[in-house]
Amino acid sequence: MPKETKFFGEGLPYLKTEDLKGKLIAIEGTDGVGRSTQIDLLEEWLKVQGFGVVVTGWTRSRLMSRSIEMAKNGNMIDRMTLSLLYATDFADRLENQILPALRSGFVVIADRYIYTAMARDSIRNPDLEWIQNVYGFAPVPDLICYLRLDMENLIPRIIESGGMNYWESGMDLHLCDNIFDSFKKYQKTLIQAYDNMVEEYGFEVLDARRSVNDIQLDLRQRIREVIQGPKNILTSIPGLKEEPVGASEIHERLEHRLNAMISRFGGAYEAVIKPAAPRMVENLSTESSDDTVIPFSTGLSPLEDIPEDSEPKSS
Amino acid sequence: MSSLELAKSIPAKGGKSVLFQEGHKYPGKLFIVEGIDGSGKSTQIRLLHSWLEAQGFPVFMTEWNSSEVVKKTTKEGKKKKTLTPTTFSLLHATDFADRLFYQILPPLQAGMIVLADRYVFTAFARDVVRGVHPAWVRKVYGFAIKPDLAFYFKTPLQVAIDRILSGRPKLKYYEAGMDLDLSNKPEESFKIFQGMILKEYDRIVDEFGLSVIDATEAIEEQQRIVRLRVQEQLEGFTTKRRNYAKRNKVFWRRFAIPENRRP
Repeated sequence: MPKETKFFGEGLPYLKTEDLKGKLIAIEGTDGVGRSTQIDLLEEWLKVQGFGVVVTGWTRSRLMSRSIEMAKNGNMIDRMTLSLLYATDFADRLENQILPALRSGFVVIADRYIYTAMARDSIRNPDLEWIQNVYGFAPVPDLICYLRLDMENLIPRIIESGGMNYWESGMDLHLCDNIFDSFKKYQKTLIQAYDNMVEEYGFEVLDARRSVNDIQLDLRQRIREVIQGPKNILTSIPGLKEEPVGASEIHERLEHRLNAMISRFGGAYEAVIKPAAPRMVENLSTESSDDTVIPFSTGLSPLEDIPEDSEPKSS
Repeated sequence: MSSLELAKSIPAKGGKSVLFQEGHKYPGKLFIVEGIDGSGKSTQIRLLHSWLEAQGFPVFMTEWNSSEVVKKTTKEGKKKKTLTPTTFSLLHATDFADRLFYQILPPLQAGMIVLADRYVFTAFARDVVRGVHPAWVRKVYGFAIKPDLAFYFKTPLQVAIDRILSGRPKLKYYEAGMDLDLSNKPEESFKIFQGMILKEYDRIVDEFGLSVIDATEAIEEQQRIVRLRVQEQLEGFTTKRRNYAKRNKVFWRRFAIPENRRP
């Protein structure tokens, strides 16, 4: 059944957005909560599972990065203009990167999403409705994980990881005469702004005071629930219950896994795995009719997972 | 859904747009001109500019898509043809916001007359033709202020096309609406594109009550009507320039250090 893509507002009337096969996962949180560390781990984990993964960051589009840098370096920029620059950047990434990836079935991890813009804007512009309307073209993510960290724990992390900068400290707002107090005041308001959105937009709140590992496991658990559609492959997730599946599905899974291995280990594997792959799948299909159920082995590393009989038999 | 059908779903109060319900509260005056390429609106606004200045009014003029912030980006995006209807629309909105807050509002606050060659209606017409939602683009420009007078230079399609094609040897990609895949030939694409924009403008004229000028009339006749309508708006408006900035007669300037000897 085709899945209708939900948008925050009017969407993109000129594009076909029904039946986007992939999943959009937004990771939100203030600076210094460890988003990028977690996203790196998630990306690796998902790839090992055989998923295609695309990570997209806030203000990383080719088109806009120069304008945004220019705007940030000189202070002669109106707040609304800056908000629109960010929105343009997001639109560019959405149409040239995120939507094509979702269309081809990738898992897209967004390092910050439009909630970041709304949080920042809610502090700077009194009219929050305007910025919500501007982002009316944005699709609603399948999952929003909000890594929440309180002020006391945030400050040391920021200072350790390179210090406070002008914008992260909200110096443009002239809240205080020194960067430390300004940072404190600004980030506190920002955390409040995120907190205010939790209910309205259905954030999953994750306590970011925990260890990297604990947060990662928590994230994986939540993501697993979202990407476990009927057509998704679910393999080698430790602790996941083994499920019996039909041969046609195995066929699909094997292909996914092989592609993942190829993308991970590069050309060397391509030479070995690719010629063997069709035979591997063929063997499985002939051994079992579609009705037969075979438990699919899990918990193996990709290296161990290549069946021995996948060696070319002609040798 | 076609953009036309979508347009009917625009939230409206009493048939009029929710945008521009109230006029601005600044002491200055904002006059704008709209119309498709080749409608002659730029000629008319320049004539208006000279006339107002000659009367001693302080006038400031601003043009669509001229802010420094996005100039290079827009140029690059156009060159590489990576702009989508939404990024195209948002880039222009960014440009507009920048000009509004730095070029349009300060002179209005200072009691000057601001003339704008194209205003938000250009975006409403073009972007909707490109495919963005009519309600969305109106909301994006929700921060714009209502002009005191908005002229629309109504031109039959063929007249505008003849004017443009005779004066310009080669049509640019986005100018001709080539991104819409209307036709492989730039000229043909341009015609269809402008025709669609024209239809969109017709709706905008009703929606926002633009002041329509028949652009097939002689230039001086059009200008006569423009000045008449501007005159009405300027009743009671007294902010005139008291002294001209002609300081070259001040004696000490004669002893200014020549350019090449300055440190």
